[in-house]
Amino acid sequence: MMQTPPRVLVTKIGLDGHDRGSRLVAAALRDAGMEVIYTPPWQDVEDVVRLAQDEDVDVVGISSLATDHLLVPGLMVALKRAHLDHVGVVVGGIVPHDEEALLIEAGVSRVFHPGSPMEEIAREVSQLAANARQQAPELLD
Amino acid sequence: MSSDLGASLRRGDRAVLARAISVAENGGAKAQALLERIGPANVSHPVVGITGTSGAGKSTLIDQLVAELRARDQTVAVVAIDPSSPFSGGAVLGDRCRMNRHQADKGVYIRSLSARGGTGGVSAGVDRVIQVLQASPFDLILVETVGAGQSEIDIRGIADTCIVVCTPNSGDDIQAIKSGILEIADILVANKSDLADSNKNVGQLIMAQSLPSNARPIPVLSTIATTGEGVDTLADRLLELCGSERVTGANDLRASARRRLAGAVARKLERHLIDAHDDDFEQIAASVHRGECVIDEAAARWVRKVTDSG
Ligand SMILES: Nc1nc2c(ncn2[C@@H]2O[C@H](COP(=O)(O)OP(=O)(O)O)[C@@H](O)[C@H]2O)c(=O)[nH]1
Ligand SMILES: [Mg+2]
Repeated sequence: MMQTPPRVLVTKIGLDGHDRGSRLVAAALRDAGMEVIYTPPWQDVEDVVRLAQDEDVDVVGISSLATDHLLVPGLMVALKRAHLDHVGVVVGGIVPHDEEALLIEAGVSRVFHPGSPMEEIAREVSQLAANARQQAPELLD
Repeated sequence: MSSDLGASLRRGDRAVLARAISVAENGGAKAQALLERIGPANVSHPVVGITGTSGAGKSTLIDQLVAELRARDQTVAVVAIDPSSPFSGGAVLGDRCRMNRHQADKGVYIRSLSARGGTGGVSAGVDRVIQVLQASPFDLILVETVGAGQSEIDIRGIADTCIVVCTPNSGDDIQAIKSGILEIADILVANKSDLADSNKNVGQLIMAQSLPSNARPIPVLSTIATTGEGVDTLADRLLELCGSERVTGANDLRASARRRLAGAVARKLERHLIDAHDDDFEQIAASVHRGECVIDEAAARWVRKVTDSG
């Protein structure tokens, strides 16, 4: 277990504004003891990087119901460029299988499809957060 | 990264700032080491508390206030505190949803914090977070408390200046004022003045101010946070106040507020320890009872346990 609650950014990129799913996930992660930073939809990739940095999150969760997950490989590159490689990234929503492979290859840790049990999402995110904390650069030596 | 931590912060390195805030917030020995490394806070960066009931428009008002302050060439850090779930300890932190347009502005830093069980309207670690922010180059630090009612006035011990946000048509607000939250106000904002009979409400607020318990004259400003109306005046008054408090020794005031707060915490803690049957505490108490440990040493042991386990 981590000493302090995992910090998770739950957000949406691209043009799709349906945020019911991401609200439910945010509530489930809260109920699993996490601190969820919740934002409006329609964020740019650069916004997400800045949010992840400023809020010092362990995990970024991107919800995608349309084709916005195709922006995620670009997000992975941008996170790396900002030295945020330790941050875990998960995608939830409607993602076709061949595109899932694309995301995993780009460095996404996990894609959750519709119907994934909330407990499973919470468990995985919490595990990813613990890994991220270990890999994060130490501020004090 | 560590040796020039203070320099990185002063230079405005956001990655370092964000990490340092987490370390400070989490407390314990690491936080102490960090704060020692950073050195004394730069108290010339005023801390402004924004408090008031949930839904009064604090976040929306901060969004407009940040815009006004930016127009006056001030850089701004915002700490927005949301309540934590008493069941899971988790939290959904959504205040920054209302401040989204400032996202790309390098002169603005917004950080969401959970109250982490704190019941005084602020989180336990916010004092330390503010010390980190005062070491970075933001001209002003705004702190949004969780929706505060009557007793959540801990912000007074942390902020140099307090804005209390009230709304019309709410008897609760008047109640809150009578019960003391007005006593911590340096500026009283009557927000949502677009809603019906808001003029009457402002009148009532002014009346409330003339209650004998209230010696200081407090400016009352009407705003409509959703349109920004009145927020320019608020920005002016706030900057005026911050400027004058610098001169009249807010540091002394702040030190005294912190002492008062420490006293209040000690009193609450005593009550809590007697009622709560905390495991560590009971164990140490038992060893005192068995005569294995003198009381002073036992107390020191408990304090060490608590402060190291952040
Ligand atoms: N009509 C009106 N609504 C407002 C005003 N200020 C805020 N609101 C609305 O009040 C609600 C709560 O605002 P928020 O800033 O989240 O309040 P907080 O909980 O105090 O931070 C939102 O729906 C705002 O749009 C105002 O001046 N007039
Ligand atoms: Mg708010």
